[in-house]
Amino acid sequence: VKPTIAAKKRGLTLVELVLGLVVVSMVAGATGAMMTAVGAGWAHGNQVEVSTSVSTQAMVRIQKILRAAKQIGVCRTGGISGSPSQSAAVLIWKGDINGDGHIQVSELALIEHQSSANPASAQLVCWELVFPSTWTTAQKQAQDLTLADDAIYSDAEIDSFKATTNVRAAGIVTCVTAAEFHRIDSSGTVRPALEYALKFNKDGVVIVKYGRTTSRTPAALPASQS
Amino acid sequence: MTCTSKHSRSGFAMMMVLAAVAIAAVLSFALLAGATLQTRTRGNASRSVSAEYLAESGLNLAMYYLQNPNSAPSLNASNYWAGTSSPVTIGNGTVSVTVTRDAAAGNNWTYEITSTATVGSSGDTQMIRTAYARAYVKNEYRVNYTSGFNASATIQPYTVITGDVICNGTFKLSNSTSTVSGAVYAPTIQLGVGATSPSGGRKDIPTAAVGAPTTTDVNKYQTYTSGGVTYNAGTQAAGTLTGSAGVTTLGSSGSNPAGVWYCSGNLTLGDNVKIDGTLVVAGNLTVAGANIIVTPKSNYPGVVVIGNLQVNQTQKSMTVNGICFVGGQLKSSGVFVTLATCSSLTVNGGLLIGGSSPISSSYNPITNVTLNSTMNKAPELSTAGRTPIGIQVLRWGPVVPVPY
Repeated sequence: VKPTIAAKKRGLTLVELVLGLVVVSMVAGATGAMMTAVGAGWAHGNQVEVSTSVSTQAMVRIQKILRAAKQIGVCRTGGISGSPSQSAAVLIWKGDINGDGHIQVSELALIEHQSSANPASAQLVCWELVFPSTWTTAQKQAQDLTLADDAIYSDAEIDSFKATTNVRAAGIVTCVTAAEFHRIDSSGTVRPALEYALKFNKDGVVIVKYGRTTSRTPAALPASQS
Repeated sequence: MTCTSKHSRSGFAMMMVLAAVAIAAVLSFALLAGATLQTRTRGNASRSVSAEYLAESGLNLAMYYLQNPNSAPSLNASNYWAGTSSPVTIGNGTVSVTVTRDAAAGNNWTYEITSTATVGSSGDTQMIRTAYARAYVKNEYRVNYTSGFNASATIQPYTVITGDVICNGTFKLSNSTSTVSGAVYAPTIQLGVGATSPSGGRKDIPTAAVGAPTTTDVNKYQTYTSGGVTYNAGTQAAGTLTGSAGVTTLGSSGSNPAGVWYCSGNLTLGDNVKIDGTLVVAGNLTVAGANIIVTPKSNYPGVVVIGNLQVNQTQKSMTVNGICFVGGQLKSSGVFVTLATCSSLTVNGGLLIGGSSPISSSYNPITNVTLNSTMNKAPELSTAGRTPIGIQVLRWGPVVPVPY
């Protein structure tokens, strides 16, 4: 039977239309929810990826500094949780650059944790002596004093070193909201080590990483520390 | 002519489909690109760490070969491993190592090591890391043989050597009373009438083994270091030194803890000389007395004679409870009468003779040389012919310039 022109032009009934809209909206809602979830998961995955990358690079940087160290000096423990009374810090003899067997101020480095309410500003910094480029050799030598062999094992040396003229801090890794250091060394230790725990907060993703790095070029402990 | 409404609806549907497909394609491409980037990031991080540790492995490999040159695949003209000739494949990466002796260090044992590791195929996924180190190879002179001669030597009658011998020339046992109970490391051996072959037979001289230090290389111990402190040797005047029975003639003190005594000329030892330390004679040493005993401190030689060591006949005797080095010749004066009255030389440690004619053909005292594993230690006896015993890493990382 050939349909009439009237039948061909007939639209949907209200019920059909409502049902169709309901089905379409349900499908659209489900699709939207799924896309939102996938997007959120994707974004979170990216954040984790970035945080992992940041924390891994941070560990690599710390390892590089510590491996080259001749001695690991005084260490402030800090804390990975709670509110430690002192920030984690460790003073190291980063190398016998002039080969004289003694510690000069320019051969020191202080790794210190600087906390902040803003996780992005919380960081680990490395304090080092940086001579002004305009200084003469004589001026540099005058400031680059030789320390007593056991000076770096005194807690007071941390603040003294930071207060030294031309000693400046440079960030080595950001987003470190908490840090804890433990020095492993004694007269019977062949290779001194530093154990550390760092809590990273990158865009809300919190990661805690633990590490232990031994010095590859240890110098003998001074008599007062043996 | 105008289009019908049916034709318009069909075109619209096609555009909608194409638009949907395009959006899906863009989304898919974005997802794929993101996933690819993440995969590459992870891969790069992994390869970066691999390259770091592979480069460190190269440093460790170099330090192993510096300590154990006999294990190295090759040695250069200066007898150390200079590094890889081509990149060595380890796991999924390669490492190239370069070892250079630092002539400016003032010794032959300080090296700069560079190790470059490559992980991944070439292109933007390849990771290259370079590690640096400066190492000092701890070393010492080891006396591995009871007797050592730098040239052809003939062992004269009534000489008994208990242990191995090294001789950089023809080694000859003169008769049945000259014996070696051990191996002889020498190019050739000759046996005199009635002489018997060394119990250990003849062996080829090991690579880099030396018979004895030369007078240029030997340590005269005018200054020496003990416990990190440098001391001067005591001075013994040239001439004749005699002793009293049971009394130490030359010994140690707070300013000379090793009891090293240096004589700049010729010295003759009379009866009962007892030295609790080391005797160094720049000239000739003559044994002209009986009951002479030299007992060095641990890790020091007993007697170092730059010239000749002469034992007079008859009834003279000297015992060295340590290493006895002679830069010139071992000789004697006087004739052999009987065994009972014959002079004697006893070395409990090691007898090293560096001269070109080590033993005089007329040498005739009774001589006993025995290797003693506790008395043959003199790690600082010579600047040459030393053996690596350990590694001290002086710097781990690239050269850091002095700031002024």
